[in-house]
Amino acid sequence: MSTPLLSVKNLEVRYLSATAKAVKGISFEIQPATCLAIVGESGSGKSTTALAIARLLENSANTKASEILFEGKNILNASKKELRKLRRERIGIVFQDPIASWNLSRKVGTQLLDAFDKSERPERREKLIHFMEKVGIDKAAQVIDMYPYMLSGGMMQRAMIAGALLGNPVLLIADEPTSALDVTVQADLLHLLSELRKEQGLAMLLVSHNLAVVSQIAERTVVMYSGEIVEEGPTSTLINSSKHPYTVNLIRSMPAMDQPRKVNLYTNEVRNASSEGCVYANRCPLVIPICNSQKPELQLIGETNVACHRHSEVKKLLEVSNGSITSDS
Amino acid sequence: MIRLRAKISSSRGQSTNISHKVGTWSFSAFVILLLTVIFFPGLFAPYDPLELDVINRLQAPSKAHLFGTDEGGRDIFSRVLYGTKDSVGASMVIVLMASGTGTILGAIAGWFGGRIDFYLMRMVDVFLSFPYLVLAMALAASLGRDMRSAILALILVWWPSYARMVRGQVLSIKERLFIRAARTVGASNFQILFWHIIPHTYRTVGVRASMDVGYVLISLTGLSFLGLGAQNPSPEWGLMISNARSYVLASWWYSVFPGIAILLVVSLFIYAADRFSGAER
Amino acid sequence: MAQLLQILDVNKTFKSGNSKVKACQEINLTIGEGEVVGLVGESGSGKSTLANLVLGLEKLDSGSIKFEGVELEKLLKDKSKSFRREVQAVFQHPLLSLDSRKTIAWSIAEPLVINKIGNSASRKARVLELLAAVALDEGTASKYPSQLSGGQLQRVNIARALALEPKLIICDEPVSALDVSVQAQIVNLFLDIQKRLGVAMLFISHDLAVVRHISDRIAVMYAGKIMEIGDTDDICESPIHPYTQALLSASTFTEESDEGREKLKLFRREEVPQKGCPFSTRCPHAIALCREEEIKIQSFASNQESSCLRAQEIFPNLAKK
Repeated sequence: MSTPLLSVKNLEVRYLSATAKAVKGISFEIQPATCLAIVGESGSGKSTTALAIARLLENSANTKASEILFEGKNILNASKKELRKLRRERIGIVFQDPIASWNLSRKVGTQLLDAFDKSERPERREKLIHFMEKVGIDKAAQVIDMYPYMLSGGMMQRAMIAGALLGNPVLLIADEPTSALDVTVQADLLHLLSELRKEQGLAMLLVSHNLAVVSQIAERTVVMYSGEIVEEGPTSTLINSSKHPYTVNLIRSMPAMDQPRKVNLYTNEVRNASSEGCVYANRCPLVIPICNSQKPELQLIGETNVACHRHSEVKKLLEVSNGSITSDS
Repeated sequence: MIRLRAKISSSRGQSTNISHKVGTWSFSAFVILLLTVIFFPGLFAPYDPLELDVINRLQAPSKAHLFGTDEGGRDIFSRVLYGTKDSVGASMVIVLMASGTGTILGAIAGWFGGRIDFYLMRMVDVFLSFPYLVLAMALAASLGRDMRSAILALILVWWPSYARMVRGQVLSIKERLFIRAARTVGASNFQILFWHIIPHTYRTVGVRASMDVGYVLISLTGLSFLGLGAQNPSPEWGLMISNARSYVLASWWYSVFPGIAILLVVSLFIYAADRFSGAER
Repeated sequence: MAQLLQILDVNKTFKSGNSKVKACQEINLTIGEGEVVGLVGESGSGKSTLANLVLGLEKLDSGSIKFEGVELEKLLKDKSKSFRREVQAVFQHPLLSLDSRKTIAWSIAEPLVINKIGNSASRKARVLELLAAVALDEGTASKYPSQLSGGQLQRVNIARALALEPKLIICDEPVSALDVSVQAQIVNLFLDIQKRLGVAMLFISHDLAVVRHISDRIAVMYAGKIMEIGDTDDICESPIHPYTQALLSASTFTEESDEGREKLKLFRREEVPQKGCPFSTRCPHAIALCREEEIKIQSFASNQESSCLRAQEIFPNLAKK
């Protein structure tokens, strides 16, 4: 395997306002020009991971890691100046809420060009128009002089992506880039992101709560639960033959067009569980005594890494008990 | 460039929280102390504030008279303590009345809008278009030269700024989703106004009010100093300073101690308000 | 099935400065007793405006809305507030729909207090009963909204909507602000409630997969107009209108394919034309006529109604009713 573009080892994050860790020692790698997705529900630490890698949590959380290597350099030791340069030129960032991410009272172009020196701006402006057209904004030359509030949510998010691409990044960090948008707009934006990725040779870290979104563009997927990685592997393998009960839960709980109607969707209840065992023991339908006493380690099974004591039985057990565990409350 | 902060600042550290709590506690202790002095000045004051003792007139501070005595031989320490009621107590009443009236009228204007809003706000404009102290003086003078008219004048001068502030807030609160939710379960205008809207203005009104206690105190003592408020022999602080004018050079303590009392109370209220509004952000 | 809610030729236009937005144009929709009708469309399609019109939070420009055969305007003026008891709502943002300064118990009991039902002891019992009905424990009652998660908050909103035992619940995007796994729980809760209480619902969402799961019938809206109405299975399996087809392909879980890419073009947001079919600027089947002639909803055999002019050309087997 070639050297990874980004390699994270034992990342731990604890918010200053909280006692528990939001991210509990996770490791993963992103190869150049590939897309890695982090999937999980809110509170699983997926967005925190993305923000920690971009070093955007400086004032609000303690971040620890053995290393965060980006292009062979450890970003943990980078100075403020180096970080700014990194964010401007090597890493692009797109956030979830298009409205909250913009300053509504400044023009689109002005905001996106702020990060660059005055002398560079005219040239960058041309480039920005080019990128805006590329991400599907018609009349980009006019939109660049409009205020964000004049644009729809989808347009704001497109402009944000154009801005993130402006410095010719090699890595794009996208934190739930489509969750706040309509299904139809989501589909278009996802398609766009994967096109751009191929064209620009861009690597991507995509954070989402929706496996359906992820399945469309990510090569590899990391599934997080409660600050830990529970499963990791190639996306299609992960979806088609999940070995962790939580991944199964995520896939089955999605309302899909080919499900029987008016039948309860797949969910499972929350119980109390001991803090020593598996993080998912509090919701897992397959829990056995060892799950509460011993934490399962991530281990390579076939193509995927799984942290589950019963990984070999998951497929069989969950299919057999399909009907009986579908009750909610 | 883009507001990354919004995402991050939501989980600010604990440290601000703790110092905010300490601040709140010490401010509450201070207010409780003030209220005790207002209601039971006798507990602390060694002398009757009105009793004349001409032999001991204009004594410098000593063990017997901590703050010295005035031209009638009255103990200034006791007079300052008794004066808390007329100065600070009255200021609190003024702020309470003004903020209450202002909040209700402002909320009504903001909620109903239309003609009610128009007339109420034009009235507010009229009040706010005069320099407030000049207006208060004119009102106090025309209502009669006593404490009651000074208080009434200051309430009249102070409520409009609350009305305007609350109206602005209500305009944004009334668009919020929980107000719509309340309407769908059948809540009346009155219920929405008093159960949902006004409670959401408490915090900002509270901050503003605690600051205003300081400013009102300055204005009230100012009016008394000019002879438009408290009348002799009341131990109101402004009036005491006014009386002390003739003795400033020979008996410094007579004007200085009531002055320090005003300074202390005003700065504490304003400081507290500042801290509250800071913690809110 | 007796008609519970009738929406007849409803129009609503918003004006701001010089621009006009036609949020609802000649909407016709009925909901029977105990029936769940799904309303699907993109943001800006006017589906939330329609919800607000039904709830009496906006005034309609023309047309009429009848609840149990009585004009809505009349019902809203009625002092007994019976309409407010019978129609309830659940909104998109679970946190914003609750007053942050009130406890959960207060918020759930509020509809009872406002409508003067029971005394404080019976209300307290009812709050606990409702919390149990939405699978929340008793301890939740004394908490404040900021202490709960999104899924729990939406359960609270549902409990509040059920407090008055309504006949109709308007659900305006009730799950779209939630995580996928939590969405499933809330959809299940709606299903359970519907089965147990037989309450009618207008279920609004931009996600056809969610709506399909819970609805008996589905109406598809685009740019203020209804594009297609029909039984859920018909809409999802044999949609007549090209827009419904586009929506369907957006919510299916498919790998990338050339065909898929062609379809993606349908999702580009275009300006809505002033004349003719609003979808004509995005529609792959559009001809000159589509941009000229005003569209009208037509009934077809199989109880499907569609506003597409070319429905019969695209589907030659389709018979008009």
